[in-house]
Amino acid sequence: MTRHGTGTGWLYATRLGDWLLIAALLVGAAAAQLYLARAGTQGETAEVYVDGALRARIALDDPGSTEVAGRLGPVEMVVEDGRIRVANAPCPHKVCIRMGRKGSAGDTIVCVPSRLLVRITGAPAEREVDAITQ
Amino acid sequence: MLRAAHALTGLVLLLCATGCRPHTPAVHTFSTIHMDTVVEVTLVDADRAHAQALADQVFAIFARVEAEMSRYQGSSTVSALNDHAGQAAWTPISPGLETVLRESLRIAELSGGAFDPTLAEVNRLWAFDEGGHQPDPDSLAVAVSHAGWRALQVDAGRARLDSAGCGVDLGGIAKGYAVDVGADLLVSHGVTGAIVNAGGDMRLIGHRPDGGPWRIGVQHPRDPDGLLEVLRATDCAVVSSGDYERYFIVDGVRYHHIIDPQSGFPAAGCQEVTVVAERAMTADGLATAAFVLGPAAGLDLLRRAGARDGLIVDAGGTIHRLAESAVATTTGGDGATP
Repeated sequence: MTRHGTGTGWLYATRLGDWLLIAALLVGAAAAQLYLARAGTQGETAEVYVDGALRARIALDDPGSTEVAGRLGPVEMVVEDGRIRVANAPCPHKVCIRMGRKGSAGDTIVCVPSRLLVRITGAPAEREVDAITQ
Repeated sequence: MLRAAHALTGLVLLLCATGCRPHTPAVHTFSTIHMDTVVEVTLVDADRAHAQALADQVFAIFARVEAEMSRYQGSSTVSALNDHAGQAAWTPISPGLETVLRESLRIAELSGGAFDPTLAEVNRLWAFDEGGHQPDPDSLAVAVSHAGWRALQVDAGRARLDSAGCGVDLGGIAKGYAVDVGADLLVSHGVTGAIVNAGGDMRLIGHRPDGGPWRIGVQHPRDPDGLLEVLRATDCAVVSSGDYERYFIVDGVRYHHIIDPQSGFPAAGCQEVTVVAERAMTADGLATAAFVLGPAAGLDLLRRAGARDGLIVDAGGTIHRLAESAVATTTGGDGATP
C-alpha cells in the first residue's frame, strides 16, 4: 500500500520532527512579527522644523540638550531615555513644554508661537485613533 | 527527499502566511504651521512623493487663506476691511472671502448672534494669542458696544463695516474654510482616503487603507492625555471648540478664548463642543455658537442647522448628544469632570 500520490499523502509522511520544525517556525515567525511591531513604535530621530524648514536632526539615542532658534527666540530641547521634550521656550502659554516627552515614531511636539514643529521619524506604530479633534 | 520537499513547501507557505500582507497603500502624514495652528494632511497613497506634492498644495491653500483673512496681517483683505470700518467705502473681496463672510452672517443669524465675526477688538483686548490677560472693563464695554454682526455688510465682490471700532475676526471660521478648500482639492485629484486637520478642525475623505472608517478621537476637556470618545466616520467634517485650548487662570477662574458676544467675557456654559457636519467651515462656526449658547440651546442650534452629530460637554462635565448618529460610536468616555 502506498500513500504517495494521494491528496493527503504528505500528511501521513510527515514525522514528529517535521511537526516540531513547523511549530518552531510558527513561534519564530510570531516572535519576528512582534519584534517588528514593537520596533515600529520607537522613533530614531527628531526632525525639528521652523517655519517649515528643517533646522535640526536630533538622534534619540544620544542624550543631551539642543537649542534651535524659533521665531520668538531659542527653544531648548532635551533628549533623555530615547525621548525628546521641550525644556525651555519663549512662548506665552508653554503648551509645547506641557506636551512632555515624545519618542514614538510619528509623534509631534509643536510650538505655534515659535513656528517650531518636532516630528519623530521612523515607522509609525498602529494607533487607537487616526486624528484627534480638540 | 519527498519529506524534505514537503517541509520546504510548508516553510514557504508558512512564511507567506506570517510575513506577507496584502498590499495596501501606505498612510503618509505631513505637518506644518499655518493660521496659528498645526496643519496636518494624512493621505492614503502608494507613492510618498505624490502624497507630499498633494500635501504641499493643501499647505499653500492655508498660506493663501491666512494671507487674505488674518486680522493680524496688515496686508490682508480683512485688515483693509477693518481699517475702513465706519466709512462708506466698500472693500473689494475675493469669492473665497465672500463665501466665508456670508457663511459667518448665516450662522450669526441662525444662532441669534452667539456666533459673531466682528469681535476683533474684543479679542484684541483679551490678547489670548499673547498669553491672555483680563482687559480693562471700560475698554471692554466700549469694544462690545461697537461690535455686532449686523454692522457687516456683504455684497457681490465687496464688503464693509458700518460701525467704527468694529472689526472682523474670522478666527472662528476661516480655518474651517481652508480645511474645506484643501479637502476639495484632494478630492478633485482623485484621493480616496485622507484627513485634512487644522488644529483639530478636520475634513475626512473616504476611508482608511483597510477600508474602514477614520477613527477620530475627541479630546477630553480636562485630561490632556485622555479621549472622551472615538468617532468612526467618513466623508464629513469634525470640529471641536473647547475652553482648554487657550486660557489663563486668575484666582481659580478659567478665562478662555471663546467669547460670548453679549457680555464680552468667556462663555461659561460648556467645556467642549464637537460638531459633525458636511463642511468644516459650517461646523467651525456652529461649534463656537453652540459653545456660547450652552448645552440645551446649543443642541437645538445644531439640530436646526442640520448637523450630522453633535456632542456638548457642559460646565459640570455632563455629556449631551445630538443624536445616536450612524457616523459615530462610543468606545470610551466616562464623562468629563470640571
